[in-house]
Amino acid sequence: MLKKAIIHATNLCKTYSTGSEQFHAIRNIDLDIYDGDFTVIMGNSGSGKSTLLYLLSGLDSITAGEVYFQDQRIDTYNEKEIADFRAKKIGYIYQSINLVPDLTLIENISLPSYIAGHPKKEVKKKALSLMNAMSIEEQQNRLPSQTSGGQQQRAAIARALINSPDILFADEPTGSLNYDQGVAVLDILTEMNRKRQSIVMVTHDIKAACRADRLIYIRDGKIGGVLEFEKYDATTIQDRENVIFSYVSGKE
Amino acid sequence: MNAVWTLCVANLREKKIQNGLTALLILLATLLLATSVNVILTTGNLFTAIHEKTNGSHQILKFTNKLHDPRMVNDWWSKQDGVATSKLLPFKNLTTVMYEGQEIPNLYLYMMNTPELPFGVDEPTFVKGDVRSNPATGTIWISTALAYAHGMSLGDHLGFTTGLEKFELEVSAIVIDVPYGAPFSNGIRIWMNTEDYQEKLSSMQVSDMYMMGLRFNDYSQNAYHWDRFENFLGTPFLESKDEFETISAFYLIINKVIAFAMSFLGVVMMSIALITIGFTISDAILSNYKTIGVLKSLGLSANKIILTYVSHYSFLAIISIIPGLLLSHFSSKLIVESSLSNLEMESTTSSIHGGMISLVVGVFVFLLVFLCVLIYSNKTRSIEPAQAIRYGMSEVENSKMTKRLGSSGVNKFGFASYPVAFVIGLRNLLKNRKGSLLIMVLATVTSAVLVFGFVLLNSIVSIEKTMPLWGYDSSDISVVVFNKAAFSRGDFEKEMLVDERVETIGWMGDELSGIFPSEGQTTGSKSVSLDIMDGNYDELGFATLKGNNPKNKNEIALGINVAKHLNKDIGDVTEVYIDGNKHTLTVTGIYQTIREMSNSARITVDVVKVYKPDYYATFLGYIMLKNTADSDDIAAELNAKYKNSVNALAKQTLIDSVFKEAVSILIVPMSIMGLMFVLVTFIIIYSTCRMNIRKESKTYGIYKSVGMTSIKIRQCVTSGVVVLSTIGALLGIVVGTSILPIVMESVLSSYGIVELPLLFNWGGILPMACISIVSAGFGSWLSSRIIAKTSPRILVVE
Repeated sequence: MLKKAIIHATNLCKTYSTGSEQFHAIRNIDLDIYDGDFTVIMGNSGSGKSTLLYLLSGLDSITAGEVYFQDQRIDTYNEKEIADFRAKKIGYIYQSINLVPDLTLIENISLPSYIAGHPKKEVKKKALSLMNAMSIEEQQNRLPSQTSGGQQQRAAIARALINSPDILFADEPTGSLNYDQGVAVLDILTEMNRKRQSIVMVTHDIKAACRADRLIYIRDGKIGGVLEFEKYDATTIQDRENVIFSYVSGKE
Repeated sequence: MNAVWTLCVANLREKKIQNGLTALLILLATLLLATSVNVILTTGNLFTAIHEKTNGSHQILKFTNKLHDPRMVNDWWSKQDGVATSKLLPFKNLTTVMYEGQEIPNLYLYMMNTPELPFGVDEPTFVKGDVRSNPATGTIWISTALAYAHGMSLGDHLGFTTGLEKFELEVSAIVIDVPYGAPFSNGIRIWMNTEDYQEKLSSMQVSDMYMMGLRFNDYSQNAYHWDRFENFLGTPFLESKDEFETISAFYLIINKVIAFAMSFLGVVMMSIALITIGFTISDAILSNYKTIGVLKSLGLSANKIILTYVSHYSFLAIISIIPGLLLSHFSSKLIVESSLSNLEMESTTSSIHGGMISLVVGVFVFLLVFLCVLIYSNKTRSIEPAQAIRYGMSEVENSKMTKRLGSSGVNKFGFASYPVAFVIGLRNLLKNRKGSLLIMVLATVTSAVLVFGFVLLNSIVSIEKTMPLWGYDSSDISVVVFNKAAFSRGDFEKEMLVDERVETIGWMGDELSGIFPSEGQTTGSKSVSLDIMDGNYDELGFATLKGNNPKNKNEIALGINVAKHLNKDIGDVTEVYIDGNKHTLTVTGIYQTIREMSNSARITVDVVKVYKPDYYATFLGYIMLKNTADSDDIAAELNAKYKNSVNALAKQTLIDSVFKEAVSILIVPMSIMGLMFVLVTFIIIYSTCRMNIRKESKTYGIYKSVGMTSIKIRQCVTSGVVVLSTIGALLGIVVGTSILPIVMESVLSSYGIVELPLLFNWGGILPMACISIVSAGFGSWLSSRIIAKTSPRILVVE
């Protein structure tokens, strides 16, 4: 079956200026992200993987190139259009969680839906259902600081999902969690992908990357290679780990 | 030390805007404080210096009623040790002076027969023109008060009329005439050559009157001398005596108002500056909590961290205080010169006592900033590295904030009940309680100051509505009789009363002094100016603070300062000598008047008629009209018909001549201060909002990343600040209209005004109060630009 690209980026560049010096974080990347795929972006520290995620999700502006989302060019959106895009089309999960500290968990989760203008009853119902699915229903009226890191990250995932986004971006979502909490979060993401939720996740954890259908390897701001698991006979986690390990080792 | 130096330099380098705003704030606070101190000290100093230089009088005795022999009195005082006495100065009064074809209204001229200089006391100081021993024939010397108010210069010609004769004299010198040169005084001395005096004024059928000045080596001893003098006379001194307080009052009253406003604003501004500096430092510490925790974990001692902040803010203080002090020199000069120009020599450069005072103010501000930094930065001592790194604040603070934000009160204002924008705006304020409180206090203070400034200026500009409360009448036309010989009051009245446009007429008698002998605990007699009314005080609009105006021959109303001096209240009986005759009168009322600083009293003509049955009050006529709009026409008709005997002036002309001067004196400093205050408020609010927004940038980044537009976020933040500043502005209106006037009244009570006649024009008060709201809203909106300019990634992650 021919896969349909949900995101299409061409000649993508991001340059940071630090005084007279310029740092090219992303260099002329051409990339497609497919609908329903679980895509993982890997690379060494400083390679540009998080920057690429920000550019694809419209959370940061590009220096050059074009980004299309469902055939709509998003890098030329005005303020209102990009805000609408962020509210309705995408969900974003940060490594550092980034819940609003002075809102309760249920308020944090409901916020994007209120911003999108959904009715209150509907928002509450959806938020509670997501909290239930994430097993944090009992924490609904607690502030983030009154809950554990795992509970916070699950709340962040629920927040990212409340508007049923077409794609979910996750920037090292297990990075600040312990092993058990990390596995729980990855299980949630895998389960969602099974229900055809498109996911793009940045990680440096090979075990986390095993959950993906496709791995994009970034080196020095360029695509170092793309690994399609379906081309390998790797059905178990261990097989996938081996494939990734040998692929990444070869690239480095 | 290297670590401290590196951190200090980094703080200065990396937070340029915040540092710039803090420096600007210290500069403005210094400027305001130094200016207020300079104005307060210089006003007194400038007057004292010129009074000293001219050997200025402490008392002026005027002999207008032939009750004492002027030469005998002058001789007695000349022989006293410790008292300098001027020569006897003969004069006659005129009321009309023409300049460039126009009559200058509301002037009472003392045409002086100038003796040879020096006079001994109150030496005229030459500002322009050749210094001579007396004016050359055909020329006059005029005072700076007259010259500056009407733009007169050397070589100009002034026209005078005695009623029967008109003549012109050329201005040959402009002199500082301290006792008759104050702002608003309408008594002006014209120094004439003896030949001119005798020739030009000979047609006047009045004999010479005299005045003389007394200067005491020790003014506090004047009562002792007066007791001896009155013992010598055998009676109280029955002619008029102007006291030093009256002579100096008008030089100081406006500056007292300005100084009050300046010192009040200076203190408020300094307090706000300090709170803001403290807040800035405290906030800087809070935002760097994690970093300080890291630095501490690396082994940097609390003392060194404190030293970093102290060095940082000491540097900012030094570079701000110096230009603040330099600028204050110019602002003080502008204010003092605009209000005391009559005492300013053309050749004198600034009289501002800049050097030492500025240095003291500078050191004071520096020490305040230094102490403030020390106190606030001392907070870093309690920072525990582990807690700082984990929470970004202390554990106690973290638990307090969690408790506050998790409280049921806060949770009531949730998204489920209120719109997102409202909740975000509200929580933003609740979270930054100190910053919110600061913004509200600023809005309150700014609105209070602006509202009070406006009310004060508006009350002076619209003084015609409150004339009676300033001690004046509210008649539509005043008629000054300058040539009694050519005037018949009976004919005048007959004609006026048949005119159907006229409501009523009243007459004020000649200038008379009432002498209250010492009584009970008071020392020395008190000489006050007497208003003698042939008519009804109430009908002509004279108001009282309490009680009533006198109506009968045994009644008197006292100016508030006279009542205080005599310790008299309504119903009390007092003795008073008028024209040497003793009267026992009952106090029926107490009033205030800016004239003579409430050192006056009101009686009816019947009191004088007791000992002078044929007395006829014809000094000043008051005409009340049925329609005020007719006043200009009727005044013009009277001036045309009685050109040889009276000078009629419409109320508005009188008001303009006196109070436009007050407005012009007040408007410069009040405007400078108002502008400075608005500027400072704006900077502080901008700075506070900017800090809050920086602190909350992550939250705003999250809002942005989940789909809120920058404009919406900025609207939330700004509307919160606007609501807060609106509450502040409303409080400011209350303070500006009820508390500050009370403070001002206490400042002015010694000048005879105990109840400020203020007019509350709400059409102006509300826009004035709104300035602080607009300033706060604009500051908040401008400072939140970063939300629009920065991507969510930068806001959230970096």
